[in-house]
Amino acid sequence: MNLSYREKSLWVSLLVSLIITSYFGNKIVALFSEGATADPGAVSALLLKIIIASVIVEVVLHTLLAMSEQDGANEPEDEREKLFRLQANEWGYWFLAVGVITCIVHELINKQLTASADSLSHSAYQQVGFAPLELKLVAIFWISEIIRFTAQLYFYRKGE
Amino acid sequence: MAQFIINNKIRELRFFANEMTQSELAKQVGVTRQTIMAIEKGKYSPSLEVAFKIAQAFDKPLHEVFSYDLQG
Repeated sequence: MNLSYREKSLWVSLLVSLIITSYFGNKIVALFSEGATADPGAVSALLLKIIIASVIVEVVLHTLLAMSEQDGANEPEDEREKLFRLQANEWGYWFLAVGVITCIVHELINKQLTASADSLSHSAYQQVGFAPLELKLVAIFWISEIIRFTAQLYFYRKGE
Repeated sequence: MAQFIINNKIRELRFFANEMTQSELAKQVGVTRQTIMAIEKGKYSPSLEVAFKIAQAFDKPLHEVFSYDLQG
């Protein structure tokens, strides 16, 4: 397999995103499977761990990659790589835009429904831990990043 | 409708240029080796600037390196 430095870098980013988030994703799902009373502090702490773990692992792996391939790391992006990046960004950001708008509309409709419902269900909604909208937005952002990395890798492979 | 494709003789020209490697050509042109490989295989059409740089690397006019032919 003939991989350029940038393609290897993308593989690192994709694998880190998938592995770390999968590892912590189960724990987040478990928090909400208990019902609508998930502790907001616990969810926030878990998300913070995901972010810190991702950053540390990515920095370490990219540093090792750059050290093993210094020529590639110092080369600027060429026109083909730039084209792949821009096309992949379009795919990823389309998903992000649609996902965010859908989430917000869904949330507004939900709030309208719960506001008009009885006070008990309304207070239950308020008690939902780390407000689901924020978590959904984080998940949408994460998926759009996965789409971006995967799309770029697809273009790199297809282009050979 | 007739389909046209861009062909090139880069591989052949590299061979006759003291067996220039893809890496050497890539460095001269300012792209990655993988881009040169993709151009040779016809999987990627370079920009005009890169096409001219490739032709310059072989000291050949553009039409002797690239051609726009009817497919099939």
